[in-house]
Amino acid sequence: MKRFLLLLVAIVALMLAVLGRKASSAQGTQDKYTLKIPGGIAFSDFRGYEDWQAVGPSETDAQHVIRLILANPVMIAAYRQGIPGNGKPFPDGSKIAKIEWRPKQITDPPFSTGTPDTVPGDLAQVEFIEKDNKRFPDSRGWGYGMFEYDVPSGTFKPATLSSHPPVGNDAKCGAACHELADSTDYIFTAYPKR
Amino acid sequence: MKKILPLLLVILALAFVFLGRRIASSQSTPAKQDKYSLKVPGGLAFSDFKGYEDWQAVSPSLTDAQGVIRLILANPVMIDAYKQGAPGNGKPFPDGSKIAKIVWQQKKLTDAPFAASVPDTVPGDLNEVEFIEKDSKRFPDTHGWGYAVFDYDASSGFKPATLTSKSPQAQDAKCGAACHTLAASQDYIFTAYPKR
Repeated sequence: MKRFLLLLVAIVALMLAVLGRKASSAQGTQDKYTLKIPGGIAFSDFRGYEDWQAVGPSETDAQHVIRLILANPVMIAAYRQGIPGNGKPFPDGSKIAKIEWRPKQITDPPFSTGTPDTVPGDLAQVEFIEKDNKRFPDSRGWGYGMFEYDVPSGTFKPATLSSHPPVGNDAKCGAACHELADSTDYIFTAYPKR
Repeated sequence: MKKILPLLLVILALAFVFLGRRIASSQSTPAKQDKYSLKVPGGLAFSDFKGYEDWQAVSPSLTDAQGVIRLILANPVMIDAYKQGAPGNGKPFPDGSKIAKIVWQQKKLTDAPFAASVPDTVPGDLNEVEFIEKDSKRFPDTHGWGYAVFDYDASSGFKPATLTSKSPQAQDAKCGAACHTLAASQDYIFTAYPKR
């Protein structure tokens, strides 16, 4: 009986350990690729964006973000051919991802409070743009989407009208703003020499 | 004889065209320069980092006081190590790890949707590329890491940095070693791999 009790205790302890682990890892295991903006683009359209090549970095102090802009092979190849500076548009299938973090100031040596290094801090959001002239005829062929990242829960969620910038239930959230870049096929980011 | 003369003229014309092209291409060095033939005397070769333009990104960074914005890329060996948790997990980066820092002068965009008070900061002129690679046998004196900087100038292209460069570089692979000792707890690499 004593043996049986010990075994029972061991089994219960194991079960609790497994359950505990599952609960604690739930934060990090959200399948972000199941997310979709209602009436808009799906996170899964951009599967693998973490491994895409970089177009460039950027930073906007006033909005408190530092960015890394990545593009899929179709769009990187277009950039390298001189698009959009050569007047040609990006081809269908082009996809670009902007990863936005809150800036973090590093002041430890070799940096200092007077000469801080600014690097990514907490992830704030990812912004996606993809070209498909058939799917997005009303917005110059480009579809836009944004997903906000919540640090405490470790999860993404589709941006809404109360987000910054506001996102409606469609793929047009960036279209009005990107009209300003009509001379560069509605894309602001250039591919700098490296 | 009359037949040979036109042929001779054609050959001469062809020779001139060929020579002219060679001269023209040697003048446009920045575009035509083979940067991969460069080497820091006594230090790293640019060709150790062949293909860095296609590597995956670790992170952006910028230092306002220096007026620079950076893109930090790493080769597949080092990206894998980062994704496995190095150096935060206490494990060092493996031999064969290579990292490239592309450093541009900051350019401020103030056209709408930005403004003078809300500028977007993006890469302007290319300043330099900085390379670090790990080879414990080759660089035993500097914790296994070798360092190099190549300055970039739009008119003359890349050249190895020297002691008078913004990031001073002696004729060896140790230029960054003293400074990177400050990052001893992260295997001498400052740049972290942020969540994305």
